[in-house]
Parts: sequence; C-alpha cells; structure tokens
Amino acid sequence: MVKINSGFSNILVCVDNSKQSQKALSRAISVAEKFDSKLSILMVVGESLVNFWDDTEFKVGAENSQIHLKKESTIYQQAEKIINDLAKRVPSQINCVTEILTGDPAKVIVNYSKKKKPDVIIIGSRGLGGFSKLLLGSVSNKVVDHVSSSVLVIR
Amino acid sequence: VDTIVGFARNSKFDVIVIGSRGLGSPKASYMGSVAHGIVNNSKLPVLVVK
Repeated sequence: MVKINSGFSNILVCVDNSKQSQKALSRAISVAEKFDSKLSILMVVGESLVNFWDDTEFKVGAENSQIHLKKESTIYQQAEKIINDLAKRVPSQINCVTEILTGDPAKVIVNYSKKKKPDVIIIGSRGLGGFSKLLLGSVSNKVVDHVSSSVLVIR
Repeated sequence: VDTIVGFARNSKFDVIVIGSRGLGSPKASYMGSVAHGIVNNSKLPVLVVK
C-alpha cells in the first residue's frame, strides 16, 4: 500500500545563485506559511567549483563520505552569503534552517533527502553554476527520479 | 503528455499535480514516462507526488 501523506510539514528547498531558485524559495515560503511547515534551505556547491585540497576537509564518520567545505574557504563564504541573503526573505514565524554541502548536486540532494525525509522538495527546473553544468540529465530530473519525497519543480 | 501540457498551458493553471507512476508501468523503478514528459515539457510548476 502507498502511504498517503497529505501535509507539507517538512519542506526542502534547493537553491543556488539563480533566478529560478529565488522563485523556488518564494513558492516554498508561501507553502510553508499555509501549512505552518519547517523549511530547510539546501545549497549544493558543485564539485567543479571547489579546490579539493584547499577548500575541503573530511569528517570522520560522516555519512556517505560526504565532503565538507572548510568554513574559512572563500567558496564557502560566498555560498554562505547567498544562502543568508535568501534566508532573510523567510518570515520570522517560519522555522528555517540552512545547509551548505558540496559534491554532485543531484546526488547530494538525493542523499540529503533520504536522511531528512522532507514531505516535499521544491527545486528550480534549471539553475546556474553547478546546476546548469549538467545539461541533459538535469539535476531536477535526477532528483525527481531518485527521491522518495514528492517534488515540486518550479519554472 | 501533449494533451496534458497543452491543456495546462491553455487553461492558465498555477501548478500541475501528478502521480509519479500511473497505469503505464507499475513495476518500473523509475518515474513513469508520462510524468517525466510533463516535468520536462511543461511551462508550469509541476508537483510530482510519490
């Protein structure tokens, strides 16, 4: 039997520095306001943008051997600035957390959603940087295929 | 797919909601082709329900 889950109590919105993800976030905010949901904003920094030796560190025992960005690296600071600017748009009554991860965006999003099990993932259909690098099998497509949550693809 | 995408475009909806798997291929491990086609071709936001 299919488990019917009607609410949207946990929302994951995946962003980068694109217009699309701004739209995705606006949509996520309006849904979160309606359903009083918890909002997670996830930004994935593409592998290709990261200098592996200088910017990253391994965390012992990290799940899926997730590579972590060093907090003092430029790329992390840039990502943090973008995500903080986005988070400022979230009204204060909404419970909101942000997270910056690195790696292949689709894989990272899929793994993250396996762990956090959001009720819905909101994602732009096409983004910038790390997102648009993958042309045909775009990130949103892969995400839609591989996650067990519902996915709202924003255009 | 064309029917749904065309209908949605002409009727000015805000969002399309669709099940990830239909009658087409109940055993397929991946999303049905109809849902896929709609996600890729629609100009509207699509909510794929699992």
